[in-house]
Amino acid sequence: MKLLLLITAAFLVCACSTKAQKPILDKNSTDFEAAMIENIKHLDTASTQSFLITLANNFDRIGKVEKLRWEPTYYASYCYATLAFLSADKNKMDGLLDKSEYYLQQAEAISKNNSEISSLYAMINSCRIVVDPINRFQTKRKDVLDLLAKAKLENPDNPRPFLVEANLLWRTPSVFGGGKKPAKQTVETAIEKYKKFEPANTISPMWGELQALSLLRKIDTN
Amino acid sequence: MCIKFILSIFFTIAIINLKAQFIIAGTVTTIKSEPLEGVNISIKGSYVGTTSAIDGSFSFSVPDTSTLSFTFIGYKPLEMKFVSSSFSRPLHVQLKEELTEMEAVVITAGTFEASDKKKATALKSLDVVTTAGQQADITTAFKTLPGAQQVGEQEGLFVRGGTGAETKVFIDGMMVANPFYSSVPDIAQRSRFSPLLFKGMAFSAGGYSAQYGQALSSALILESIDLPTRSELNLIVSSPQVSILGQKLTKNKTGSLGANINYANLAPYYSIVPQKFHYTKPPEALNGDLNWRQKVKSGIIKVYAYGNLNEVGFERPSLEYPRLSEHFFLSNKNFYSNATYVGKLKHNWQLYAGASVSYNADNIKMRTVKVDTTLFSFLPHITHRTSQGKFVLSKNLIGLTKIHLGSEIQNSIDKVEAKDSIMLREIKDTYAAAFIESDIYFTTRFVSKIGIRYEHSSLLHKGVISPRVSLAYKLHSYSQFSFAFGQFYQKPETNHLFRNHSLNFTKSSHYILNYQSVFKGQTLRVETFYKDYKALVTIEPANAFKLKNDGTGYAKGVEVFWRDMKSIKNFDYWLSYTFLDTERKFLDYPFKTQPSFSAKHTVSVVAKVWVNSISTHFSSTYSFATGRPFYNPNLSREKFMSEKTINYNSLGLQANYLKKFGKVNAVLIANVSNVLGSTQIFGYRYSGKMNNRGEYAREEITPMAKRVIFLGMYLSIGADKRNSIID
Repeated sequence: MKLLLLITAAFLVCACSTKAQKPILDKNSTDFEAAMIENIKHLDTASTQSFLITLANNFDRIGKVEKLRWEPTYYASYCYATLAFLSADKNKMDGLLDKSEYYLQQAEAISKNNSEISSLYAMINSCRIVVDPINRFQTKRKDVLDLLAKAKLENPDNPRPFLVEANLLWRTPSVFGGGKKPAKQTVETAIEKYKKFEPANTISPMWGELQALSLLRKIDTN
Repeated sequence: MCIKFILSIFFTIAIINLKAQFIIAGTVTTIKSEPLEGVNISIKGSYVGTTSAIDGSFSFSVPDTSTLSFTFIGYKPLEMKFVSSSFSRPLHVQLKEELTEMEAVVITAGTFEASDKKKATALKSLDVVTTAGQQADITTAFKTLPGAQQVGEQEGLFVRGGTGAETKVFIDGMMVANPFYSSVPDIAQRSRFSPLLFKGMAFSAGGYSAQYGQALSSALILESIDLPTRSELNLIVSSPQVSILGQKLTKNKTGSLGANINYANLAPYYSIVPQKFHYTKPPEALNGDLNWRQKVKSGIIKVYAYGNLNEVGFERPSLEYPRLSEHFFLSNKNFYSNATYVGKLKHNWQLYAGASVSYNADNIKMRTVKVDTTLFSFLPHITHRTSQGKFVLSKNLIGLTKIHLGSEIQNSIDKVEAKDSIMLREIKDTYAAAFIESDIYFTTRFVSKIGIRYEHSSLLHKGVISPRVSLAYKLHSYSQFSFAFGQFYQKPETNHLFRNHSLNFTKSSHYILNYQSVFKGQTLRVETFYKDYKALVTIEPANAFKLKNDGTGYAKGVEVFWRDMKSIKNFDYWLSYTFLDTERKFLDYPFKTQPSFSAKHTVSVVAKVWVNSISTHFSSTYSFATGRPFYNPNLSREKFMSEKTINYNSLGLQANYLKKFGKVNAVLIANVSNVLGSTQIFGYRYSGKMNNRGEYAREEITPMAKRVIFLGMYLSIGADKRNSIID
């Protein structure tokens, strides 16, 4: 009996010590794609600040190893943009957007004229308007529109620039050309494009369809 | 035995396993031991890692020997070799803040910046346009800031016991010789330049950088916009003025060309709203400007040119000769142009180079008239020419520490001639200056700016050296203390130099202590200062040509500024209070006393609200100042400046209504000054002669009308086809 216990205990020690490393080491270091998928799958549901930062850091680490891939830093940037988007405290938004931009610049350095990167830049800049609409509207709106035009040109089938634009229109007073009608039109275009959108591979950006649908609901019920 | 053997095998496996993988735990903090959440802790060259928790703690397993890397944006990355045998737990890692221009401490003593670039600015560029008061006058918003006086009878910014002439205006680093429309007796004139030209504005009430000189009291430093955001055509139609403004952005967005033309005529307005004086020539002005901006490989070139023609004439009853009237007429020609280049050179050097020319001519006719005979006339013709060249070289040393060195030269020619009274007088001066200054960041929280400026005037045959030192220390991420000290020299005013060339530089010393806190949309600034004036120009009362440099003075005070953009949604207000204690002996003052342009207490409240449902932005400005001293010649000389005017009260309202007509964006603007119709007396004009009752007659100096009503419409047509929000 004693022997059995000891052996079991010994097994457990071994098992535990091997197990402890497994989720981190094996999965992450050997397979880039698997590691990316593992983190990407949490993006849609991640809503707490600490979890989004953890994901951003995971992407950052992958990015530091895979220096030729734009996706890791793109996703790290996306995590911070989402954090800013969700943030209730306007004073923290700029700091988060700075971090988002920091990563996106790295992604852009690897992949130029990328519609996904341009869309995310547009999202960052439209969040900047939200921080201080009165002072930033005039100058930043121009940046956002330029970036959206660029994103649409780079890939006309990408639904994400339309989602970003719809969000901006929805938050823009109608005297400045925003409001319910143009926002609805644009989000409907986005949803159509989401239906047809074929991602290039398993790790290319997919996000936004749920947000587009919920924005449409929000517009309709308002 | 058997059991022991089996067990030892198992344990060996376990130990090997543990040896290969080691659980490492610890905390990450700032150097002040504040926990850092979100730090990325990784093993170099692998995906393995973790993120620190809210208390800065972390734990994960690592191979026996590896390089740990700690990264966190805004902090210096840290790497450490990890060897399990030398591992003492728990691990304490401290990260040092990295200096970034956005977060580093900046010197705020004396200076109010209106800019969108930096986070900790009290004002935004737009505030300068949307503050109710004199429509689109650049000084309006700055007059609501602590330090500025509510002087309504003369143009310029009167700051901390200084005269309007002691505030200088700089555009893109170049001094502007005539920033305001030429003076008209007892009527304040507007500034020449539209606030829409500038992206950054800094109002310094003292203690400013060694890069600027020839301003005894204050500097208004304006930085023009780089490139417009789009091509557009704007039309402004308002009660006094019609303007057409166009700008064209080149296709590749590296250059732009813009032109503005304005025609102002107050005759229609004055025919409806009666004015205090009878205008023989209601103000009429034609002016325009051109600008060209071009991004080049390593910098940007900006060229700006402005030209103006304007006339104004009025008559008022003569105080010296009852039943006679005094006629005043002014015609002005003004031209100003500057060209600047800012760009990067090799080895971290930055070059600023600029040149400017300006020309101003005033033709003044002053007559005292009895029906058709002229009793007395004074017809001066005054011209001013300046050409200026300046360069500044800057270099980033370590981190944010910078060094600047530069030099400037100004040639000026002033002429005055008056038919029948003054023979042509001309003064020429070559003013040269050189400076060196450094911004030294000891830490992210502690910065010092130390500079020295040498100035020389060929006219005065004098060279002077002025040291400038300022320090700032950040207490938290949101609050800081600043201190500034500086010596400032200024040439005597031209009308004094005409009478006496051999004057000396006037001098002031500033000592400023400032506390500023910018936290979640709320700004609090408290500033206290002491200023000492020396070598001010004095004039002997009996002989206006006997000028000396033996005037002195002081100014001290406390100023408070509070702005809250957060507490109420879409509502923003600021409040400033100025306490000023100042005395001077200068000009013809018989002794040291409170000068006529200074009030003891000044309060301004500005409130702005955006009402989304009616697309209207409302703004109101309320200003209050205690009475200012004036000289009553009916009293003895001992009672010089002993009387004070009534308190000053002014409430201005402005509404901007935004509307879209098809492709045209329109803003309808209504602005009313002194809504409550308070009596405003800036001082008294006394007769130069005693009347038959043995008295000097007087007249109140007041605004020309109780209220000024401005109605305007701003139309903007964007030419950017891709601009889907506009289209």
